[in-house]
Amino acid sequence: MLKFKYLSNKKLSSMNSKGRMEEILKLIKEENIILIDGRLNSIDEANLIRETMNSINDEFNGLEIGIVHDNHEHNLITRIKHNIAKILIGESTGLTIIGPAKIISELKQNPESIEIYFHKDYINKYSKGTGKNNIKKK
Amino acid sequence: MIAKLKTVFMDVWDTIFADKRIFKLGIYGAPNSGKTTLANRMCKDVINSDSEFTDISNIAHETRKINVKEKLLVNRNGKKIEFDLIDTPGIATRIDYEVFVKAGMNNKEAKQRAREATKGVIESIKWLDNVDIVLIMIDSTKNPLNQVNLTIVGNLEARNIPFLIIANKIDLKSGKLEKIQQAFPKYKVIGISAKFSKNMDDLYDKLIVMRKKVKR
Repeated sequence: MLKFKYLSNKKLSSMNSKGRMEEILKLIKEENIILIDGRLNSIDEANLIRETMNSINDEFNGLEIGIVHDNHEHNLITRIKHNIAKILIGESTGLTIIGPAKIISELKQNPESIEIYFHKDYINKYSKGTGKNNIKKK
Repeated sequence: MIAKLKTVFMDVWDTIFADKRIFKLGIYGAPNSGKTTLANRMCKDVINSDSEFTDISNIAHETRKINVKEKLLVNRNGKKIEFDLIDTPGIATRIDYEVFVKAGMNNKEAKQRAREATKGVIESIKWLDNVDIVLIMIDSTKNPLNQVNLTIVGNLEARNIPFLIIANKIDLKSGKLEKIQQAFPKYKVIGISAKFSKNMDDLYDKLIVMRKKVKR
């Protein structure tokens, strides 16, 4: 079974950076794949990598992050609206996927799509008895 | 005569103001993108260093500590730049000691390397606050849109640090400069082969121009 956990941008925005990192890492260590509406800011992304490195041990080997977002150029008014929203509620456009490296072998991202490759061992473990396997292996 | 006077004047100018113009040049990127190969190449190219940085290998996380070479001097047709070169450990979101075991290390060595690699990543991130210009090394044979590259670009933008995207390994058949340029359309990408010293002059010319953006 794969567990997807939704984390709202609103909830994350109400926390400080340390709180956001703790929340994300807690869910990742519980083997959840996290979906966030929007994206972390760059500084948070670097903090997340740093905190992940601090947490690595024999059991936890890190995470994979992928982001899809609108990469198109917009006119001035749309950009202003977007920047105001960004200041008020954080970066709410796009979608962020964060998963444990133990489960996800690779996240291939393009501006408008993400391919998730799961570890073969993980798929074999959890698809036992179902006879079904619709996710990509690598 | 005028040209000779100009050269003499420039030499005197360089002697007086050289120290003030030294900047910190960081090389950042994912593991195995060629950061240390570039650092070694630059050490060979500059006019005042004859030693290389560190060893390179095909196993990821060969560089696990920040390495600094001070006061390297590049002279391009009379235009000089002087910088401290900082070779950083590769940034990664995952480090698995089993990968090192598969590469031939015993369990103890592999775990030690993994521990050092995690510290190296943390150091690299910390050093973002200490660099003036960054070269982001991207392996042009791989998909450039990975989170490490995006996070480095985003952090340099947020900190207002000028950077140059380097598509390395363009000597390889699978090296695709245009793919890197498409992934980062807002920025100028320079394709090089650090290993075979291809297009290094372009890189130095660009650095001379970028030097002016450093605010100190």
